[in-house]
Amino acid sequence: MGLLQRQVKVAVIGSILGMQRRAMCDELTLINIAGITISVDSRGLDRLPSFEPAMESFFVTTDVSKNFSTVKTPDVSIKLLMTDAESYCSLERELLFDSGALWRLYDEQEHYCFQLTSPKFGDIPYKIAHFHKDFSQGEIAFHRPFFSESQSLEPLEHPIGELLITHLLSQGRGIEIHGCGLVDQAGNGYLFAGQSGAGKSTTAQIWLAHSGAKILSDERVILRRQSDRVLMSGTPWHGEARLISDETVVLNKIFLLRHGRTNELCRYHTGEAVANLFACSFPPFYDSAGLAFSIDFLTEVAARVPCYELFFTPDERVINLITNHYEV
Amino acid sequence: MGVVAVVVHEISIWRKVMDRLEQDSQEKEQKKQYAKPTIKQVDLRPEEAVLGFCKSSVSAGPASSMCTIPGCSSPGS
Repeated sequence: MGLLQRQVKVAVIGSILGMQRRAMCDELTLINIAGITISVDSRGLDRLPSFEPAMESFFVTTDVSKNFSTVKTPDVSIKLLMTDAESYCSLERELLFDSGALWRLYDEQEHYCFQLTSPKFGDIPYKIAHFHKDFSQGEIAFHRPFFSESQSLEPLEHPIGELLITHLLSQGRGIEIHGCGLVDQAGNGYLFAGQSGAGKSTTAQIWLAHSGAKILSDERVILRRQSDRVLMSGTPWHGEARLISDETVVLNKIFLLRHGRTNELCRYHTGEAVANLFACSFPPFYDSAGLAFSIDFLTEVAARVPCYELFFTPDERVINLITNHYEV
Repeated sequence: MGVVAVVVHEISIWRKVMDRLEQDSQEKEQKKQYAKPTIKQVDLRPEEAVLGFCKSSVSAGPASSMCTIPGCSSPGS
């Protein structure tokens, strides 16, 4: 095995709507999301994999003169391959969870098996992800008949990328929150959490246009503990505003978004904050240890970071409310 | 003198007891009024919480190239 280098090749793919760019990478791709490093080995494929352009900001750029072995050992190593899905899965398995839509999870004794299906193709999975139960290693297999030779292969396409990250986080690393994260010009990290339609992307656009804040994501952020601080990291998963950043900031305040006729803040008690944050997170409901950790982690977050219910109007007045608000 | 010392001692004890009673009375007035425990319900959207929802779920995976929405990059905001 010689020196491994990573080259990012940007391929322009024409479509009836215009130009669609996807990042195509060499045989080995390293990705870092909130301190979690993922290695994707595509030598088992007949073509290079592709990733959403948003993921580019999270690629680990290595100095081409350095040997790959000097890079930190990845938290999870994934191999990609093409296969026949029907013969790839183990017969000795137990259904652990059915999302009711895109994916199912099976327990195959020493492995977890995620099967992804599409209504267009029925019950045969178009993609299968096998991981060791500690998620340190895994394989992502594409069902060959469903992919033409010219079709791009995206290993971390939704939801598998997030499923991987949320499981790794639930092992003691942190939690992913459905929210908009930003840092204002004074360096304050704010999280605006909310379910679909709460106004996360609207909030991001308001702060971007009227305050010069940097948006970490208008859809998903990751929270982690560092001694007595809570850190907030951007992710490649964006919302309608398509705003992402790979930066990490200290989290100073959390706001649960509510539509309102006026701009108002109401401080939550810790218990209320935990419950509302839990409703905006992605815990592994079928894993009792992961679920327990997620709740404990949110309790620690709520104890360290002030949490508020924020009724807001979709304009810049909400910025004044937040930046001028001080705890007594 | 011994009787005087006993009387003084008894008075000081009595004063301490009265001070304590007065302090307890003030604390009771400052205590919060009892509020019956209530249950507050927080809505959970299961389809979002389990990452089972996608804006273009019908076009996830290899079918996505056939859809007008390019890929499945929006997790479902």
